[in-house]
Amino acid sequence: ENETITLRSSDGIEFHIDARIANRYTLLNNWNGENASLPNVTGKVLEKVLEWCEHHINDPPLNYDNDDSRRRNFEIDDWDENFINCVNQDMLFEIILAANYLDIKPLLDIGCKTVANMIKSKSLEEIRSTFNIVNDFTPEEEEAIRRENEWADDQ
Amino acid sequence: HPLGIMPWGNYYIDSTEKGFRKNRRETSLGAFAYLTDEIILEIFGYLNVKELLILGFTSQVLYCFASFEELWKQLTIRRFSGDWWWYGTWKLTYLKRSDPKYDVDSFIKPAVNITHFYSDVLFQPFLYSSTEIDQFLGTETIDRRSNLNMEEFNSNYAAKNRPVIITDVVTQWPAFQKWSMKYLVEKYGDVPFRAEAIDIKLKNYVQYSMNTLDESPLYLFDKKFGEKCNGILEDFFVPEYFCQDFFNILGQDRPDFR
Repeated sequence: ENETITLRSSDGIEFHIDARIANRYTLLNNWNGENASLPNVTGKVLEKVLEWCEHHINDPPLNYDNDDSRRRNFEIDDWDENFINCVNQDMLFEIILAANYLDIKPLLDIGCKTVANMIKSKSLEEIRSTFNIVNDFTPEEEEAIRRENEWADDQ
Repeated sequence: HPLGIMPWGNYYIDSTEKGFRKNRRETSLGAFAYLTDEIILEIFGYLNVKELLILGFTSQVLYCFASFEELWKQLTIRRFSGDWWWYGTWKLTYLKRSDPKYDVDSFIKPAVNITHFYSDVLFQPFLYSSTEIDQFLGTETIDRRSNLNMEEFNSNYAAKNRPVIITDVVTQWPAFQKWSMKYLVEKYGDVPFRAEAIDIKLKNYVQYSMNTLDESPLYLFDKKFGEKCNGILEDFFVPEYFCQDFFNILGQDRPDFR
């Protein structure tokens, strides 16, 4: 049988995971043990993150160079899309922070791209209401930006 | 900072003042305030120009993020490679390049002046580009020599691995009289050179490099300059101290050497 390691969330919930997961994402190894717990990740979030990791346990090894365009152009596959669409916005942001904190780059990329997709194709007012953004421009600033944005998009 | 962004250090000073209003980050960023500045920029890196402009229209702090030069640098290079004329910022350069009618001159003054917004990530590039380098330079302790004969060069410097600055070699080159930015642009202005991932004409590059505020500007370094610029190899010569060329043995397989 496979070796397991024990992770504890910040609120004290224990997870026994396949050691191969921790080997893929080296930072997880730091918290292996009865007494150590991850300071910044709650059980609810850690459960989702580990669910994602378990599904991807047999992915080809990570080869992250700094090739910006390859990262930008990746497609989110069906399983990941379903996984990420099943969480609400708060949880999505929590997962992004946890993936960043635990250095799980593919999950971080999926999260960031998902948020970007939520911005795409939305109007100004839709973006404000989706993300709770308060319009704090002065009328002069609004006018200045409106003129700045008067630009012909010929893409 | 042109938009009024301040580094986090200022928060600790400002927040001790009486009547300090809350840091603007929370209200003006909405849900994004939950994420780090680095992650926010990562997300915005997936947006195109139209989306970035709309986003910058939602609030003051988001305007600051959506105007972050690195985002616009990537957009410009991805779409136009080295084919653009520099207009002071990457954002203006992009917009002018894609729409020649875009009235750049009227946007010299920033559209937004924010107060009580603190971000090291957004402030840092501005800090680097506006910091004088002198304070980081030490005193030079390397020998400066002229009329240095080969024997002394070999025994006093080469054999001992001691550095030396030889002051009367470059002054003898034709390049010393001829080469100025103006001369090079007149003669080779339309020659494209490699600058990191792009090819850019010398005249466009010079205009950019003279006026950019980039934290780490595009770096022009082209190993083929000798082949590209007619006559340029006659403007300088290898000094006698370095005329032994062991790589010659490799013939065609020698590594880049100019």
